[in-house]
Amino acid sequence: MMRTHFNFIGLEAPQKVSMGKLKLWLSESLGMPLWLIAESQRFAGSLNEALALVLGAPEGEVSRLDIEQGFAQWGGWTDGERRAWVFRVLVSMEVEDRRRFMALLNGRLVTGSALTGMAGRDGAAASTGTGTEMAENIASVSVKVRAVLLYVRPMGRSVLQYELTFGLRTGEESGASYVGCFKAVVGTDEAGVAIHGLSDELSLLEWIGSNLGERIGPIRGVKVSEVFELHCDGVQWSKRHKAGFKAERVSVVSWLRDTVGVSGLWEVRDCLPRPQDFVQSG
Amino acid sequence: MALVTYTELGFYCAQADLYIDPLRRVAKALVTHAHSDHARPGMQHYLCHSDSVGILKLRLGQRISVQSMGYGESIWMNGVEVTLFPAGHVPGSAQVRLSYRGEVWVITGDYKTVGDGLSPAWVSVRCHHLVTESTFALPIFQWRDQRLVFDEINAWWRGNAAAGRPSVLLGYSLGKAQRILKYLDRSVGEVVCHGAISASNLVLESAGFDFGPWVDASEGLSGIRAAGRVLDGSLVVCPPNALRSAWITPLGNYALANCSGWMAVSKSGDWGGVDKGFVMSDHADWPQLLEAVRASGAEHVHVTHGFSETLSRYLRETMGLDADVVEQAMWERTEE
Repeated sequence: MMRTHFNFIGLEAPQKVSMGKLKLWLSESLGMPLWLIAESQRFAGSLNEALALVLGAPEGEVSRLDIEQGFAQWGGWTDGERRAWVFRVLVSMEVEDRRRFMALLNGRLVTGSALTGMAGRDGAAASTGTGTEMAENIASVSVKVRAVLLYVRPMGRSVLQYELTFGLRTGEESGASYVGCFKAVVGTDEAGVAIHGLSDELSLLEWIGSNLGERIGPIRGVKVSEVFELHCDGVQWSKRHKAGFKAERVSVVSWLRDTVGVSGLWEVRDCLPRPQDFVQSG
Repeated sequence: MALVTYTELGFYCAQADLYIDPLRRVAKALVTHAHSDHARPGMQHYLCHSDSVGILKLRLGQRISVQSMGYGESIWMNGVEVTLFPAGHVPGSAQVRLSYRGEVWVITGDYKTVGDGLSPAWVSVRCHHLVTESTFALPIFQWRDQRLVFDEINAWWRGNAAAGRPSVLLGYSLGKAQRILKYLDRSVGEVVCHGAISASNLVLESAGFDFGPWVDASEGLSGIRAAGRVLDGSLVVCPPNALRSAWITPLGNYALANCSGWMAVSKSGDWGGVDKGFVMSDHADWPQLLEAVRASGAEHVHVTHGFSETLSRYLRETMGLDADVVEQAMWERTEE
């Protein structure tokens, strides 16, 4: 049985709302102490899931139009008005949609025009501002993450190209280990011109060249320090990938020249529909 | 000295010389229900609700010494009035009320406050001291109306049957299994029960419980197939350990689902290898636990068996009650 999900396609949060802020808002709205939410988070495995569950069974209804209007009015609202609106929207949604709405609010779930291809593949047309509520089955999503470079695989002979493997954190704490999640290619054409749209692609190639580490078959390790912003499309559950999901298209948005702030694996998982709705066999 | 104390053998009423759900051999054991983490073997004498007697004998032996009582009936033990009230957990489950010289204790055992149509529904009992379980004492646990869950289960079964595929639903042999049986839509196909569940079914049916037609697979699934029955569109109910035995093999390529309160949490997509998780429990969820505490009027609450630290802290800090934790010496995940 496929559940229908709220249609988030084309919606974009007017402002990033952090999970910490959402936690405070829900704590105040529900009259639930923060320590109790923290205990719930510990058991649920992620704050996103804990918050989606503590709201209980859905009450009331929310339409796509309600959300579009709320986003349009957002800029003129006080913090208290935003809190009340977000609470009302979340309470009205199914648990599954709450998780994705919160991911949308804090900018991890991307539902912009980049999703047109995905919407077509899932049989629903991308639509913005029509005000109609479309039931659709979303099997894949687009996400924005901060990932750390783990490995490179040199490609080709005549051109300087690498397939890069990026990792996300597995644990909450710093010093946690990383799991390779996303792959993207960088490099130059035969004329030595960077071709993958990254502004500092040439200096990245230079950095890789001077930070190569141990050889694992065709793969070379690199110094694990560099963090990148990635935009990943077609992210979906996969039992054959160590991370539990795979992406169809990954583009490197920027080299952050930063060594901290790597996203957690769970932050991507939060954006995905719960696997039980899609796994058909066992 | 308090009427009830917590000893290394479990809850004990010294005045009545009575243990409740004791962990090891004692003279007189009151058993709140027949799950194995509450009804242990080796007691000299058992006292339980009359609907639990059959299951107790099935599990602990026909020769045990057992005295039964009905809900609302009292017996007197050295001046202590002992009364059982429905706990709504599984058939035969009871809350225990102990009253002596104006001091009233209630030990809930396992319970849920929302009726399931199978077990007699939980009732609130006023007391000074409440001993409550806390298996699901986190606000992330909030159960839905069971009709919605059974709609989901029947739709899942119907889909598998339409694809010519058998369905396997995991459920413990006392309580959960019969609750599932009662609400399965028999127009989809036949319902087949593992031997452990069949044995409980027969005992409960003879006690007057009714949960619809079912096929006994005590002799194995291949026997059923050989007898000309078609398993492809059927739904098989079995306890989790049956999956690790050869019993399940004749079923071939089946769809597998679990039905438990723990299914509420996705744990990053890991349900221990099942295709589908249905969230349904025979324990009180967070709102039900708070409701039971409020309705009891108890000033002193003793929390055991689960997220006891969390619930007792909430009762103290948010509800202003005198609450503490009484940890079971041997904590086991509760049989559902």
